[in-house]
Amino acid sequence: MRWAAFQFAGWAVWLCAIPLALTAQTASSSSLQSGNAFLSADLLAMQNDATRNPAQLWLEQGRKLWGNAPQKGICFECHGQAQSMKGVATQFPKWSRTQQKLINLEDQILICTQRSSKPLKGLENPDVLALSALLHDTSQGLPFRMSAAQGDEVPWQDALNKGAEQFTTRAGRMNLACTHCHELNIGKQMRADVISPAHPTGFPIFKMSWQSMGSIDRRLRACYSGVQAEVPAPGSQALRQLELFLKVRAQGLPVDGPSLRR
Amino acid sequence: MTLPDFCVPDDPQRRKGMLWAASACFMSTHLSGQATSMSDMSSEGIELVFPRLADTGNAVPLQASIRAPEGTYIQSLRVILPENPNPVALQLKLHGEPQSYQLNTRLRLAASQSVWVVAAFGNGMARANSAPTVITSTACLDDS
Amino acid sequence: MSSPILTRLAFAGSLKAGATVEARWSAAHPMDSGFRVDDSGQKIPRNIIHTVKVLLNEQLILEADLGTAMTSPVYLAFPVQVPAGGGWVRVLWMDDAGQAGETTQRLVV
Repeated sequence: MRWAAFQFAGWAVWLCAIPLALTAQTASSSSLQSGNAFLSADLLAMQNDATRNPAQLWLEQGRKLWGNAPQKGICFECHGQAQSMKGVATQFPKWSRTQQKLINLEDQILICTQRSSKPLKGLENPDVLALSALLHDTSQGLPFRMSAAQGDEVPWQDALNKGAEQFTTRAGRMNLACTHCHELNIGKQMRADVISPAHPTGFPIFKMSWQSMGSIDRRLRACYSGVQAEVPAPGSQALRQLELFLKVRAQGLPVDGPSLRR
Repeated sequence: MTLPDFCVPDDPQRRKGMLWAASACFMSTHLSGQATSMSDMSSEGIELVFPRLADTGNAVPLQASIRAPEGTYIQSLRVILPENPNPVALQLKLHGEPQSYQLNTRLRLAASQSVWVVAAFGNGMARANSAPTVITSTACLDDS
Repeated sequence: MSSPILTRLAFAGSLKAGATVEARWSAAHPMDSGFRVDDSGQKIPRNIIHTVKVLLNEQLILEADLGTAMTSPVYLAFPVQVPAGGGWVRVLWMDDAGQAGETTQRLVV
């Protein structure tokens, strides 16, 4: 009963936090599309061809790192087959009681690898991204399932509210809120970019302009620099809050990463 | 007019008109064993697939299909991007004396330009073809 | 990216004796052109894969010299004639830093 009340409160806050979206003719639900729908024909063709898709390199590395036999110190030892992790990628970011903050999948991978024979450092470490690619690939087709664990509803809701607030607050020299592009101008072009509704189903992404694989943390930081705002440091709670909000907003859409992006 | 004047024009408008000749001429003098400029060579037997409008300058796909003239084979291929700081993108030495070849690769382009593919054959002949592209730019500054 | 460099070699086309397939090779090498500058303003030194050699059943079929215009990851696709009885395709690469690697893939007829 208490949980239902919180959920209602949460959704109420969320709806109130996006007045612009409510007044817009095109409701965000009709733009519930994956970023793949906004890829050019060439990039989509490259993405769909495993022999040409750069993301495949990271995916294969992920499989290699995971292992497929019970060997000491590797992922397989604790988790078994990567297939058993189906659905895991749909649940992040989570509220971590031990760390008293939101953690996303890459954060979790870093935590896990500290226990393995190959402790990794850095959110954009190629091996972290490789494992993230594997775990997202394993959850392909499954919808996001954002929820607070019992007892953590208050901080989770608070984080979600903060994310919603960021999404609707103007920022940067360009003085734009996320809503200005990603709610009000979906499908419009900014030079060669086509504005998507920013549903984060495709992570981790191989971004052509990065010429490398990158996490959602990196992509959100790029958004801040895109409006010429102060960029939060990698791993900031602000980025995790925004990620949580974006995934709640995208609920219903299935995971379809790893992906290719411009 | 000296060679540097010809090849490094200051005036951007003149540059457009001079670009083909200038870069082809400049490049051909730096390619070993080539006395003819690329733009003077026949393009027969060389088919290029290159996007007219490139999604991103970071990865522009090129497909080059080459057919050797009767009685000879393809010895080597060169991919040249005259507007790039290092114009020679790729040089291939083919073994096995193939009479036809198809190459697929992805290139990084510093600016909108034409890609040139020069094929050298076993009989000493050379052919070249080019294809233009315009690089579209992104709107957002990415400092990630 | 620190070593080892992830590479991939795949074949497109029907694997029949005498047929020509397209071998697609990619390598997740940073391919630093030497033109980029890092956050502190320092030039990132050039480090690209400069040479690639392809062997089919230990016979050299292709030698490639790569320049800074090649993307990261490198992508190179070339024809391979499938020998009767199949065999092995080996792609050897070398970079400016002196690192070398090899990608091997079996051609199963």
